[in-house]
Amino acid sequence: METDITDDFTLWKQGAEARLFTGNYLGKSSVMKERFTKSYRNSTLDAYLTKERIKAEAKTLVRCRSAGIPTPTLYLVDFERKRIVMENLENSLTVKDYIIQLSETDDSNNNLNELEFISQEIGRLLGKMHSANIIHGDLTTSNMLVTQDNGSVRLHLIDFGLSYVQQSSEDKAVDLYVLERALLSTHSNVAQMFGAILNAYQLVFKDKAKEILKKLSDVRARGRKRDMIG
Amino acid sequence: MYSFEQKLEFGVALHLRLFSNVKNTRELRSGVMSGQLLCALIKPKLLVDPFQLVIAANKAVVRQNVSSLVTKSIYTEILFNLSPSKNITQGLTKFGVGDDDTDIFVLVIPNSDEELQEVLRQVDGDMRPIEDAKEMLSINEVIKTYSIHNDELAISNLLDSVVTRIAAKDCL
Amino acid sequence: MVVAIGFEGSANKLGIGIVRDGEVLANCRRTYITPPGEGFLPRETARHHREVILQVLQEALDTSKLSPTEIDVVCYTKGPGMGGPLYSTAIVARTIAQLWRKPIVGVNHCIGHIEMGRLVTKCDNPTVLYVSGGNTQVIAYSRKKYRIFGETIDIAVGNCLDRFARVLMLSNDPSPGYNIEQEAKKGKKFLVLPYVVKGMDVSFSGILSYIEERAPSLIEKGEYTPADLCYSLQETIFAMLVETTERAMAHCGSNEVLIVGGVGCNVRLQEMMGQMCQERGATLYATDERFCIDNGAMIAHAGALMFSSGQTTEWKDTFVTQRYRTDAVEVTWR
Repeated sequence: METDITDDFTLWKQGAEARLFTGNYLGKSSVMKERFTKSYRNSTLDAYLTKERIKAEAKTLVRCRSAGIPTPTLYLVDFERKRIVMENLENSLTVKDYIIQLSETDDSNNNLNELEFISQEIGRLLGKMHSANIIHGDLTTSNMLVTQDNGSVRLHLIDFGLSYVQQSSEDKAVDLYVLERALLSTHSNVAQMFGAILNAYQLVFKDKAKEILKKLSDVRARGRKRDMIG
Repeated sequence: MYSFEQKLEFGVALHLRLFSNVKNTRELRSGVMSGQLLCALIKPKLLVDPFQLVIAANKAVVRQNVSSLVTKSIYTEILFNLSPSKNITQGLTKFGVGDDDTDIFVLVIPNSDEELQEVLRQVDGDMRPIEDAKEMLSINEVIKTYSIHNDELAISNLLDSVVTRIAAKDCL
Repeated sequence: MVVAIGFEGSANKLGIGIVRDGEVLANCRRTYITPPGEGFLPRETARHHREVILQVLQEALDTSKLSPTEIDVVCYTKGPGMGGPLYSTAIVARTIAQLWRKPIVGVNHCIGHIEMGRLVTKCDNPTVLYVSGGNTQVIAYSRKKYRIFGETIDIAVGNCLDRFARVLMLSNDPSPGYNIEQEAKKGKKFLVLPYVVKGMDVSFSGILSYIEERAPSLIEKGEYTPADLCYSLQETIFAMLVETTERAMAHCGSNEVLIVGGVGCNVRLQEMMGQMCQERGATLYATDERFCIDNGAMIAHAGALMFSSGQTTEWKDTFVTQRYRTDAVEVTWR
């Protein structure tokens, strides 16, 4: 009887559909994301969704990397145990925590600059991502990590379980809309942040950005104006 | 360092040695193919770092544990895993040594030390420090094989790009 | 002590309820039922409401054993909903408010559902899943508003079910959704359908067109029975709703779920939501068809809360509006 190499991993975060563990894997500091069965779901559907999401996650990690978007290095995909193992980005913070931390420090001038900067970075990466026809599917500030190395800040995207490849402007607009709503429910200076995000987004994604932003206002309006009967 | 060893999943360990001036490559290959020599013989040219082999071998071990190897043995599986192609033969020829190759990585996942020693005894060549493999590496060839572009290299080191592709291969 | 009468007619139910400090004294209702394969249209639904409203009003007063003088405030659904039916109902509420010389309060229909759910189940601060023929929203209370965390980006879940019921020519009595639910119980074979969750938002139109397109031939070839398809559709769309509700709970750190709205009566949805809650140590609160389905008492109760906190609607503002967001209402009573 051999013990599981991940036995000495420690539980790090408990999410709605996966547990995250950290530990040493094959000599590297790693994160293991293990999805679990949702008993409320039909078992065929559950198995199908779990597999599709693991697949989507691995596939998009590669696609993002190819498109020049920093993502964690992947070490293992294991459908049997519903796991992926990837690089643990040491000393990283979620953008959500990073922004909260900024707001708690005193230097308000500098904070505005930092917020502006991180917003531009988000916009730049999302522009790159959408240029490569990658739809994230669950954009929130918890699914973006910041690492700081000698004062230089780098943004990484994670959590691609709901991602897919799609050319249409509609899907890209909805992706941005999901982010906007996530910002609204998490942060206070949303208008400023989202504005900076969209500006940077347009700069990297010149040709089609206009169409997508127009779609975005359609998508927003749909939420506001939908007839809600019954 | 003349030997590289890494523990993989399920309690097994990978052992790696680098040889130059190997004179009996043809015999070694036929031993491997007939199943008498339990190891993988790999070209150093496309190996950025031993970790690349660790990821490919570990994946093979995980697959073997649930009896879902794509190829016939754990050693052919490692070569197949290294290759970005889903064509098995292509993977074996691209990453496995040919009869005329003299620089060889010997990769063994032995059940015992004797098994490891037995394999190494068969190799007629000069053992080299693992680090010397860097001299045999062709970065351009790696970049071409794994289709890695400049946009990516601006944000990622080559090894990370390669291992991510190896791990994600069946999802692409 | 506040006694409130509430008028609800935003869709195909006409309901009048009387509530005294959270005690339901009357909750009378009529439903406009269309033939199989047909949905309800605004004009016909409004006519239905006009035809029955006085009879229902009398019934409500009789049941409550109250006279108009004992009523403190008249409440009506201001929106959202179908224009014609909303208007037909509001006009009666406005008339009796004047006849009886009572203040009037226009109530957001969604808020009515939420407050009634909180009253009936006694839950405190739940994540709310509001699911009906016209609405699909995941809502949580924060900073004086019921905020929408997730919602459908196209059609409502009830609309999706109703339209599929029409494809199968299921009866609209008592409701198409109820008949889908009964069919689904007999289903065994699962068909994988598109599953569309985007963040906390969901989309149903793609699923509907996928299954509408394939249903006739799948049934004809004998590969799937209508029951199998109802089962597959319910399992898929309810899983989407439970998943997004769970995401919202995780986001808000909440451990209560309240399901309201007509689709909230569905026992399979309640069962799935219950399993999710159990797994994360949360509690599910749901109501039965008296309060899940549109009714007058919920409008009376929400209106009474507004009235008690000092809100009345000025005469010039007693109009109706088809579009009225849940998060547009300032919650002055919490």
